[in-house]
Amino acid sequence: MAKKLMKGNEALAAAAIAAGATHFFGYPITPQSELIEYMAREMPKAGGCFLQAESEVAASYMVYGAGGAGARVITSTSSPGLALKQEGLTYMVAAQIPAVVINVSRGGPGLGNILPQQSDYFMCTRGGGNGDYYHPCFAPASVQECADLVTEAFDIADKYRMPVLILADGLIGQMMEPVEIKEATEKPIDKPWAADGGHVKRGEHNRINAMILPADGLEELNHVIQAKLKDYSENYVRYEAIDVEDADIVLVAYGTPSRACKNVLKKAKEEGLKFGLIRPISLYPFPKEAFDKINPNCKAIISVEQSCGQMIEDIRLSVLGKFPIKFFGRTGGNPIIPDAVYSYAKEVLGGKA
Amino acid sequence: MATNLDNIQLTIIVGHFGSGKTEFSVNYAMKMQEAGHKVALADLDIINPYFRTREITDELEAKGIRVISSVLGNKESHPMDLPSLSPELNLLFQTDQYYGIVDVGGNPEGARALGRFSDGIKKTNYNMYMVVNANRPETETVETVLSFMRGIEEKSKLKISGFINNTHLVRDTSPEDILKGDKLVREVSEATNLPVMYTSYIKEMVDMSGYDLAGEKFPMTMLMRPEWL
Repeated sequence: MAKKLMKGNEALAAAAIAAGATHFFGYPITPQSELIEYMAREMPKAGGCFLQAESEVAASYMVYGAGGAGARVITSTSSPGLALKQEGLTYMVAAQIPAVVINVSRGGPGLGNILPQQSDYFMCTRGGGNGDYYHPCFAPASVQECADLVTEAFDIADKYRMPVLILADGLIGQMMEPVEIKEATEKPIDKPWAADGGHVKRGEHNRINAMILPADGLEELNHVIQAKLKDYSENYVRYEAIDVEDADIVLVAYGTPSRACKNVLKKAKEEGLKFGLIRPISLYPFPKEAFDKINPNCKAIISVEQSCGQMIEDIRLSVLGKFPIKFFGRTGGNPIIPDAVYSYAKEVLGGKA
Repeated sequence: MATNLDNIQLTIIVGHFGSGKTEFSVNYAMKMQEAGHKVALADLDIINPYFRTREITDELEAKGIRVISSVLGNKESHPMDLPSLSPELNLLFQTDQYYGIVDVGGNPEGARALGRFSDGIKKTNYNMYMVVNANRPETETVETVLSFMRGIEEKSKLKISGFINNTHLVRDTSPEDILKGDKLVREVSEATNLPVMYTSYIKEMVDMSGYDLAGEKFPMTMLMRPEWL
């Protein structure tokens, strides 16, 4: 397929349909509304089901139901909407239901504003609901990556029977770029566990359930979830590392700020400074191994986030005191401008910040 | 206030989001201003939340272009999620003080905002141009362009008077993209009996000087997308 011009939101939706998603449930919210509009228009054409729920909570349980019946199902929202969906998500983890969940994040806390922000890092990478779990979580930095990660997210969700999150900041959702939507090459795997009326002999039942009363039964489920996360974490670490092996300063950024940081690297190179960049693509699992490649004489690592500093905690856990860690961030939807990052990084290099 | 409605000059720009209508509108406003007109640019886009005229209000106002916004608060620092039509818009439709350029929201629903002013606009000398990007999935064939055009006309209660070929792939744009759009707008022009007014493109990205293109060539500078994005 030739490249077309699409918004990130449209590409996320188009890729989901191309990946064989048959059900979408959601509730509109800026800045992801083009996604749900695209689904409303295109999902019925593809023979699937589009339904605008009465709320985010309702949408998350429609996903639970469709996923439990074995459908490839997706929902999308923006920050405060994801907070509302957390109950459904932890229930899906307990009932082992695959689904793809998209968060095109906006300014917070609270209702905040409609501008891009990255303050949902904790909510998306720590398991936002109750209980012991994490979500696989990916962060695209381009419209093409939006499409590619959605395709893969469905396979991961099916493989591990759990919700997989895509965290795109508002600017990635709203920005236009050329994109190629690839048709899914592999058929979705069989789901013998699904409560779809098939798969079992007469008199047997497939149960979808998030309440496990016996202590040993619930402990066993927790062991199953942890084992899945361990296997997932060993197989799906994704990141981009640029020039870190001989860098004096390493920037760490995901999503839109990583694009600003790439410009900072260019500028630094022009002025003879050695800067590197680590761009996590998987936020959970966090790409700890990328930090082992950093020049041992590196002066500092700078976490660049459109937040007050959340990913910085994962950087600390990855570096374990080997390098000083600094932070550059903006909030309120204010953009991270390359010049501002560069000035700050030079201050850090000169020991002034 | 003395007003001769026949003298009102008004250019309305419509097109799907991603067609580049805001980029065209802003560049067009600057060109009209350079040509000696007193220009006001109205952002009537109630569909797109980002990449809006309001983000470069300061630059435009510094050049002497009046910017009329469609949200409460005109600057990027007040991006309220409350589309609102400013009473200032009447300056464009009811007086001949300004050469008005109106940037209308990215789909027929967005054009509904314009319908509210259609009675006043019909009394003026208005032009309504549709920006076409053949690389947008919603406007890649003659049929889809015509269907989009009919939707805009129905909701705005106004008539399209010409087309602008602004086919692009942002920084990946090549002359082939523009030629693909050229073929499309020529076919649309034939089907509708309406002229192609301009072929617009970012001059830093492609050089189209050697090509025979429909309408007037309109080289632009990329203003709506920061260099680093």
